[in-house]
Amino acid sequence: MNLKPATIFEIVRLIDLQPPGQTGFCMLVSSSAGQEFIGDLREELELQIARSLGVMYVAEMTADALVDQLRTTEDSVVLLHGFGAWGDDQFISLDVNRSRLETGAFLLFSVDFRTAGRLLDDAPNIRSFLGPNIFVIAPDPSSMRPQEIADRLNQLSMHYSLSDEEVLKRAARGDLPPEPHFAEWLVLLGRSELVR
Amino acid sequence: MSVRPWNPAGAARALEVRTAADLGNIELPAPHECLREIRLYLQRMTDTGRTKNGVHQLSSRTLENGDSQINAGPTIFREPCSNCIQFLSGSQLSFGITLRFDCAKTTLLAYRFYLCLLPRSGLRFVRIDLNAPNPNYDPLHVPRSHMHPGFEGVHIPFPVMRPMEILDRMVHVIEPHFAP
Repeated sequence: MNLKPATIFEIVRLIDLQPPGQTGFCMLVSSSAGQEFIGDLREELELQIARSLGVMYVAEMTADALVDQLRTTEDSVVLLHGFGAWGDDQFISLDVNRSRLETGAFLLFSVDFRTAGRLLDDAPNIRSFLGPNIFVIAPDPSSMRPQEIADRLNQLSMHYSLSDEEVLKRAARGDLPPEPHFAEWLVLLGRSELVR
Repeated sequence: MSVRPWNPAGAARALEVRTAADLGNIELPAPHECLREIRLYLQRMTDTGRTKNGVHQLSSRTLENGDSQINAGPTIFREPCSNCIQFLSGSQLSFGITLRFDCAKTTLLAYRFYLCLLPRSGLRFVRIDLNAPNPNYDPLHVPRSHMHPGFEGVHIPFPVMRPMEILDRMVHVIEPHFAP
């Protein structure tokens, strides 16, 4: 299975591009749909496109119950998770009932790697609905990696001809220059408590 | 006609008191939400053709205590700046924002917004800074919230604003003024 990485930001942009009223299908492959992931997705949806997120835990549901519940939800984006507990017959049943999934909502099937394979094998019609929208959730790329932090610290050190140790000493004495760069320097060093 | 007595240092200190009050009234979401707002803003600026890039220049560092640094472009600006936000006009923007977060409130500690202009603009750069809190400084010559109109040594008092507001002024007001 060739999975494309996508950030939550990109997933929400994809949802935004879906024509209104047209059902969207997307599979998000990760080890689990943890609360942090759901919270981040909810925040990003609210910020980018002011849409609410419905969350359905399907482990105890039949395929019929799932589509029935989907048809009564008012959320225009619904995350479905808990498919790991489903047997092949449930996926086959969902595939047979695929047209009942078309409620106009954007459906996000959150599955682990193993379940992704089973769903795609057992539900070939849903697979065609998903098309290219099968992604592995990528971490936020904006978080600075250690090398970037080191590079930025090096830029500061070269520019001001000061070492990290000298900056820490001066910050502790309270005689650091007030320029914004010095507050940034202390955050990069993990010593932001010295900004005061 | 007599001129009323004037105390520049006292007036500068009074301005700092107003800046501190304004700073206290700025309400910001948690740093990770600030980052999201900025990311979305930069994406929309690229989508609408205002900038050539943006989202991929964004980076952040969040500490365990909640304090955060949000950057776009390098920490120290050097021309040519390939990893800055690029405008169609050729201008380049980089910024850095330092936030304090105590699980309930986000406070602005410092920011720097550096807009590098083309030589034909007549002005080399515009920089808007909020200096870090510091009890020992000269508010007359270096007010905490200031703007550099193309000269490092000139610090013109400038109102403190939400970082998104500064970014939007840079993108929609200041940069277009210098665009051909």
